[in-house]
Amino acid sequence: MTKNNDCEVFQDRLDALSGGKLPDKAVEQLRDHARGCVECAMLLEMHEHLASPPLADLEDAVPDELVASVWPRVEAAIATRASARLRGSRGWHGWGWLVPALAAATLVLFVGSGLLFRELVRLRQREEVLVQRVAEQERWLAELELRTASDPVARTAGLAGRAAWERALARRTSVSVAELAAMLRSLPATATILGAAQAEEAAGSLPSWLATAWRGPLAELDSEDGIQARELLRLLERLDVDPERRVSTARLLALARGAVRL
Amino acid sequence: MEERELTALAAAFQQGDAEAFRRLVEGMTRTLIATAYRYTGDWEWARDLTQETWVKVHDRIRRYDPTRSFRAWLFTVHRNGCLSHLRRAWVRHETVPGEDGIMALGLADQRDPLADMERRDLHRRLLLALGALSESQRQVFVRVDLEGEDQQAVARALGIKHATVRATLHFARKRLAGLLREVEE
Repeated sequence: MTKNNDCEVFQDRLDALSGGKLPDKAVEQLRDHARGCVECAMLLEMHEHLASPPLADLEDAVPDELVASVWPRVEAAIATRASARLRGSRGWHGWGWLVPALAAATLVLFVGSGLLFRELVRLRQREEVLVQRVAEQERWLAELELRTASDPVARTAGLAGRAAWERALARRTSVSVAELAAMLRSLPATATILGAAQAEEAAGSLPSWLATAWRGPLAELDSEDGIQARELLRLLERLDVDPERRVSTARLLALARGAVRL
Repeated sequence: MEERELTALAAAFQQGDAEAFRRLVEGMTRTLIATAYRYTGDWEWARDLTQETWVKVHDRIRRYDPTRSFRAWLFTVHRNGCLSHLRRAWVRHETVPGEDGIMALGLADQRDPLADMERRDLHRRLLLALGALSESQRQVFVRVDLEGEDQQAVARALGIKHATVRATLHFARKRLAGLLREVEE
């Protein structure tokens, strides 16, 4: 038998050898082989070391107090883990309100921001309207300022209103056509200054040169609702008369006191 | 404790019987400590590993299939714990903990301190060398040579042929013997 064959036989019978299941002669042969083979000797040593003492003997050698100490330790470890799990679970229960609260807060925020946005849009639109109105007023005031800067009668009428305008008229005996036009421009364009009856009367009470020039255009106006300042102004502008020609304020004043409505 | 009794207790514990669990612990703890000692060479470590095994069994009992052997399932849990313990030592390149415990065992040869020292050294080197085996070699080796399980039972448990177990064991032993010899030289 070669060395390799001896090694294979040795290793095959190792379990039986260390288990004491071989006849003495076979044991002696195998031990002889191990004495001359380092590898098999190491295997035998390792095997005998592991197999000795047998597990049953090792069990007997376990100290009793060691065995007795296991159950209380296992019980304590399980209790500790259970209470840790419970704490963890309680912890989650403690924060259980957080999810619905966050959801509600998100909803409120969403709806609230929607309403706020709508209100903001509405306010912006309102602001735009107001800004437009303010701009119109400012434009009108600037225009009025410009017109009245060089015309004391118109300035008085524009700044102090109808009463002041009437007083201004009362202080004069006459006004020029140009001054009259400036006065009309200083009034709001849609202000009704002559009622329907006064319009008829106006045509009759005007100076003959003015009455002749106005009769035709006055007849064209729809005077049922009276005549507005802008309409009268347009009539005045259409007159082919000298702007410096003067008109008696007494007649104008009588007309104004009886008919002008602002 | 008989296999049938073990399995019945395990099934009862699975149904919520805490007393059955206590009886399992009391019935199998000695065997588990002895087995763990084979891995660690230290009683305290063996006790701690056994305690860990029981806590794992408590936590995982629902995974146990009552139609199969509880002893086999228990030893699988225990073995994995013991091997994890050794792996931690291999990773840290430490000596196996508790080698001094062999002296306190009462198994040490008080009459021959030199032989006893050699024995402890062999145990330490052997356990460290286990880290160099493949997983399958280690599984077969620890079950047959450390835990003293029958080769055919190991083949059945691992779902491989008996011849494969023999061959794997053969290579594992040779590898370990070679590693131990290298250290000696």
